[in-house]
Amino acid sequence: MYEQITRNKRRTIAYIAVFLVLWLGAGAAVGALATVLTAPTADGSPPDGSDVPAGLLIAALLAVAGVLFTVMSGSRLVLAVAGARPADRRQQPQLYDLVEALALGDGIPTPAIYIVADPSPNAFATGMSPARAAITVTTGLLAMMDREELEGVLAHEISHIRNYDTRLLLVLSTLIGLAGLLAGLLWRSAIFTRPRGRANVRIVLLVVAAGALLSVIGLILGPLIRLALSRRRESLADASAVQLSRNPAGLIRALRKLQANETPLARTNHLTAAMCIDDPLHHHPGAMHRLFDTHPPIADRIATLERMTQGLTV
Amino acid sequence: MSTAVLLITVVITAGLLTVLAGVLAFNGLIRKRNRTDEAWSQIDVQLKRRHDLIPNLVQTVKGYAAHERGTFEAVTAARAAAMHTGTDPGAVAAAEDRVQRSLASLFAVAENYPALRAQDGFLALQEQLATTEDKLEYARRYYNASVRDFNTAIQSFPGTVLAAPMGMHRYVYFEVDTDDRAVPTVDFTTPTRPAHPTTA
Repeated sequence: MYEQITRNKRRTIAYIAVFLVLWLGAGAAVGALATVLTAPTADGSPPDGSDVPAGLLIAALLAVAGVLFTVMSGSRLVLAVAGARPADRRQQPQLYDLVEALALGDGIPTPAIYIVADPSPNAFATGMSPARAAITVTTGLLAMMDREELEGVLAHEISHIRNYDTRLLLVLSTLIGLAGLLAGLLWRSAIFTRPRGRANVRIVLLVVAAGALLSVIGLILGPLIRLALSRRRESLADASAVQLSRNPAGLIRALRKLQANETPLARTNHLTAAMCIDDPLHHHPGAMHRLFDTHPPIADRIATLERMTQGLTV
Repeated sequence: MSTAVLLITVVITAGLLTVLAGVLAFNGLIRKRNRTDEAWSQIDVQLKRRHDLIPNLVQTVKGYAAHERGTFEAVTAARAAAMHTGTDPGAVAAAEDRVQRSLASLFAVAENYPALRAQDGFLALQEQLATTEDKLEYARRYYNASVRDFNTAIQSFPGTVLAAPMGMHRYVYFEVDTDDRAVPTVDFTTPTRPAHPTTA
């Protein structure tokens, strides 16, 4: 079972590397553009240097800053975005006991437990390592699930932590989010800059080009990488959850209830969506969301679990 | 001359690789052993917690069912024995199994006293014991999985070469030896449901 984790850690590094290459490529491209656009000086003399190294350097600095930020406070950001507050042990003894028991079963420290006041049932896990992980559940989940079902859901989340899925998603999400954020910033500055003279037109063009590149990374390439990854992670977490709790029935019933649920999560975005047990964006209409599904369809997950049940009993 | 250099290079490289493999294997064994020891200490924590809860429980039940002395004594004796079993997982598992079964009969006795069953203190103790047993079960699974990993590592190459000089021996699973336990015989030959259900 530990090979799986090693592979996951390796994959985190591989995906970060792929992302860095894309990211540095974008920086270099912007630098090259800057060279071309600022090149023809008034007297038509050749440019006295290339801006490619500068572009690379800026991109690298931003990427390093992004990764550092994630390592330091990525999970805090996720929890804040979701509106999570720490769960009270006296009010939620069952939740605490189940998480503690499941953590014992995987040999990891008990994660911090958070609650989101939301009638929509959902749960997610986050954290850079099992020692600094957190599990968050909604009040809707606590109200809807019985003990066995809750155990199944929590086992799924503990498995995400144990398998280092949380680190992988956290780092990727932050890098993608950073690209999207910068793209938005650049678009805005391009719109609000009034071009005065030829030089300024060039700068606006440059900003638009950089914005377009970052948008491609932040809104299309990045999410696609993450999707391919998180769908597989979900299936794996389901399997690990059954291995941990030895009770597929609880998770199957919990997934059925999630499948029947129609209430969408109030506070959600792409940052947290990939981490939830049930895709919160799935409940929103629109083909775009369907295209960017982070989870395999619940029906498929239930079918897989049922096959596992038969495998266990035969 | 050049063949000698080549030969020496090959020998040195092979030597370095062997040392590296040895170090990695050594570290792997140490890691697996520490994980198993840590898993055992988690079991120990839960067992201690259960031992701490028992006197309270006995005291509470006594208040309502003072004449069920045999049951109390069995629980107290099983607890005392379990607390002095030492550290052999097999022996501890057997002793704890007796504790668990004596507790089961204590709760069966409690079933006959509705006033006791409705008491808050009793309900809280019952819940705490159930929770502890739940955690014990998870801790047991993790320990046994760690033991399996470790035992496999020291029985397969290269662990098998290193284990003896390092004084490493196989760990014992935390489980009740099936011979120790009287298994009730269940007869499946007679149908438990009526053979001909009435058709509507």
